[in-house]
Amino acid sequence: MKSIRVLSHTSDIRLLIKSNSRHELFRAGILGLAKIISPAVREKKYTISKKIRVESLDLTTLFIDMLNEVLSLNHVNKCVFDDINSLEIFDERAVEIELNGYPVNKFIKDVKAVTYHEAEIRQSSLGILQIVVILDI
Amino acid sequence: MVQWEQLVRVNDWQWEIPMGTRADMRVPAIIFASQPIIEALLTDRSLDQLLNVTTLPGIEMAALLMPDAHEGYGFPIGGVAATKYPDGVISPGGIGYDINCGVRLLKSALDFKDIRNHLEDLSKQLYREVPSGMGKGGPLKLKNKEVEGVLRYGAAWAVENGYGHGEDLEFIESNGRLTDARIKTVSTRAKQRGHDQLGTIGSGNHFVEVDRVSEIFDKGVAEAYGIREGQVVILIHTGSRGLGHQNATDYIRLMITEMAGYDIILPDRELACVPFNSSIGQDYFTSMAACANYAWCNRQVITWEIRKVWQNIFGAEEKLDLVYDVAHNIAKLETHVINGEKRKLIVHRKGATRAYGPGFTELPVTYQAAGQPVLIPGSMGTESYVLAGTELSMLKSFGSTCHGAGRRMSRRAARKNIHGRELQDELRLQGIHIQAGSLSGIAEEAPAAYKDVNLVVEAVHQAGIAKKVAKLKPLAVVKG
Repeated sequence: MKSIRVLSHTSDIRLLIKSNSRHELFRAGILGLAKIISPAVREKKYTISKKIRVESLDLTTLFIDMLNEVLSLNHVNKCVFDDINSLEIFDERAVEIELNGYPVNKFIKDVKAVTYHEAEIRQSSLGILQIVVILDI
Repeated sequence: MVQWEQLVRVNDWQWEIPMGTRADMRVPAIIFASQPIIEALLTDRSLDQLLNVTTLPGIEMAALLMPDAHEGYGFPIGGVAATKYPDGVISPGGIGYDINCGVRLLKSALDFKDIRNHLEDLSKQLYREVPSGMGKGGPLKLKNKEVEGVLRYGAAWAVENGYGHGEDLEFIESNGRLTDARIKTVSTRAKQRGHDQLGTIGSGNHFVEVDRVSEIFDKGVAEAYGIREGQVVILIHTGSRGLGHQNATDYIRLMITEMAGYDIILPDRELACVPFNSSIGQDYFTSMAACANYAWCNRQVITWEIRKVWQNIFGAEEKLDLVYDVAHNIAKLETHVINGEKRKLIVHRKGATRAYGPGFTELPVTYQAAGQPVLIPGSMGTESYVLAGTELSMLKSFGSTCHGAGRRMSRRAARKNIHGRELQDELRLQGIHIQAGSLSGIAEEAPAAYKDVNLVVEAVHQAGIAKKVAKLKPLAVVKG
């Protein structure tokens, strides 16, 4: 189970991401970011692959740092990386991901950064993990 | 959330949230606004975010908020905070991801009547020549050494390479170059993102706008700035593009990890900061200065692109001269008087403009009696303003004032409630030509999505932290 909802924010984009596992939550974050920036593409041609490792203080900062790394890769390669071959989390402080991306002429939203503001991974009484993320536009 | 009862009215244009409202406050919070603006600010988290700013280690006097404020992340947009030099903190979140986002105003020798029949052509040519949109590259593909030249020399790099005139530099804040810039403190990734974005405006609320001067409020100051009623002028609003965004991301991430080592505990990670005189503090400050230089160079190259279009349509003899260029996302070392004592401070402005009063020697000689020009863009269908810095702004707001109209409606709500094509047609009937990358982008930037810039400007004028000089009305707008 995973869900990505856009919530209200005066100037930026506030996303509510939910999932029932850490892996799915991280995957949903990458897909949510891709959804925000990707233009309509008739056929996604995955021509670029990247393997990344991100290390951070804790699970929440790891989540945000990972999204910023993917955002940066999108910009540098003029690609949208939304195809996740593998994603592995180590001790809540590191994540390794293999990603595939498709080239785009432009992005539909210029996301400057994924911010740490309000971000905290929480678990509901039903075991659902969720995080609110603000994207600076 | 901050409640109405927690605000103390100082006068009709200034409000205070006193020390003790929250236990972790180090200084009070001061808001420059009318009552209706204050009431609007109570509906989002701007004031709570302002209280978070009051907790920064080394903050002096007060955390300030301008009337165009709105909720951001970390600092509210429209926030100003000055910290003690050299051991107060520097916070990238107090500057924003778009380092040296700012505004430049160009003046022509032509009047509205001279260009009215060329507006369609002018807007189309500007859209073609000034690259806009998300992730789009510009006309220059810089090699590594050239990116480093831009980071080190700012607008002077552009002039040196044929994208402007030497006299342009005199009319730019800090003359278009912060000499503290160090290229080694900017990451390879950030430099990589900057290699093809020079001369581009980007998207969101960035634009190039052709205006006519519709009203003069202060004839003497307007004359000093070379502005007269009916004259055609051009506004440019953009910043340091992906290079600046990456630099902020790099250092916020680093500071979140490192600030625990300085026993800094904050209510919001996005306020991450370290002492200015620490190694990381210095690396961030010098990298931010380099990114600010990139932004000034960017606006200089865009000026070159606009001049090409202008001369192509109106003839080679028609010039566009700079009125001024101001940053509104930046931190600078400045000296201000606090309790009668001169103090060197690290002044953070996030969505706020420097507004130095008369006698400031950095200004061109012809502007020194008038004070520094302050450029306040409205939204694409409404007025913009030219203001002047005042002596009072030096005393009350660390020489700072507002930076724009300020959003009041979310982008999502704007897309839901406003139809881009209808708005474009409506504005055309008002004589405003819009060229934009998408209709949804037009809807998001609709005038209704912004506060009334006239009320914002009135608030800073009445508070005395800037004074009205001239009003501009849009004729053609190019957006990403």
